[in-house]
Amino acid sequence: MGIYALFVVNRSGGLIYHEKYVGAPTMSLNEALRMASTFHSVQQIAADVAPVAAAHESGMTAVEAAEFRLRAYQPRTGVQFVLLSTLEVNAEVLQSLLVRLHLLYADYALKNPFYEKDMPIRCKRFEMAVARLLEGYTGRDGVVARPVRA
Amino acid sequence: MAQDAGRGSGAPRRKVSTLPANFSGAALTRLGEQASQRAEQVNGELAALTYGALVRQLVVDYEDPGEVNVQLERLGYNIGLRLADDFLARSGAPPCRRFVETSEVIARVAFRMYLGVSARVASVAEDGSAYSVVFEENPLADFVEMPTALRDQLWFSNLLCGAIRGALEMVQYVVSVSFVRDVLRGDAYNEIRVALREQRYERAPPDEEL
Repeated sequence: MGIYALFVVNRSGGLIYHEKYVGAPTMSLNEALRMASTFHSVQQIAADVAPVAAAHESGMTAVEAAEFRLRAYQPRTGVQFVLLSTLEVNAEVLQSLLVRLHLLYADYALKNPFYEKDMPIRCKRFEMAVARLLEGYTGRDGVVARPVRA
Repeated sequence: MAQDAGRGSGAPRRKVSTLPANFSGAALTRLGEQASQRAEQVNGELAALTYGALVRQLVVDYEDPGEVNVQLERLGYNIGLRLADDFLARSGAPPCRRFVETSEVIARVAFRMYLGVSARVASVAEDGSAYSVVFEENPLADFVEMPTALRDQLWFSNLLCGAIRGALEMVQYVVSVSFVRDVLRGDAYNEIRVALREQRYERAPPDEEL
């Protein structure tokens, strides 16, 4: 296995994009939305309890569990990228993928004049680019799993 | 990327003497150079002609040059809102902790990346709440000669003001941005004034039930 879920959360805590790959727990869209906004709230709390005023990509960046690894990346514009993977995926790999996801978001979502900011991303080219990026990290034995939609 | 900015701290600094080391002019200029080389290039003439046609059409449609300024600013604002993420993802610019630090980043990195020209920072307010971005070359105005009727009213490149305002708003700085000088009006250089109006904080409002 490998990476099994991707969430993109906007700056008000709304889920604007999510993908599930092989191994992801079954989750309805409502559940996914709830998790995204909960995650956003925890992120806010992290900023509130930090001893120093954070300047940039800050707050909660990682959750390590016995069974999975979560990495989150929040650039200063407030949008958040979250990847969930099994433990065999290296943390640095996840980190660099998150930065690349931010680039894809800037290129294929924001630069699309018909994409409305902070709304769910329904852009074919973004989906394709994400699939290409995560190819090789999802699914079993390098076999890419078809994204499972909620 | 961001580590590169740490070097070159010995470079001569401009008026903003309190900026951290990685905000030195030379380091940021190099950053802008690198970022603009990485970026895809677009034909400058095409951009200038497209922009020219746009302004021309707005002048025809709105008739009032003041209204054209407003519309150009609005267009730029929408660009800025979208461009902020692109800038953060691509530039590798060091994070700004204070408003005044955005000045050098905009002038040296963003102008280089998106316009291909370098700008510099001037007339920084003492409390750091306002600054000017000054540049001589303006690729948007390459072929422009202003008709006398519009010369003193239209800010031809007002789109840039909006773009700066939109991008800064995405990182919680509410600013007002306006042209002060324009080569098209016979000034020696272009000057854009950026003034901070409010800094927003992304956090829950204070609990009012006590």
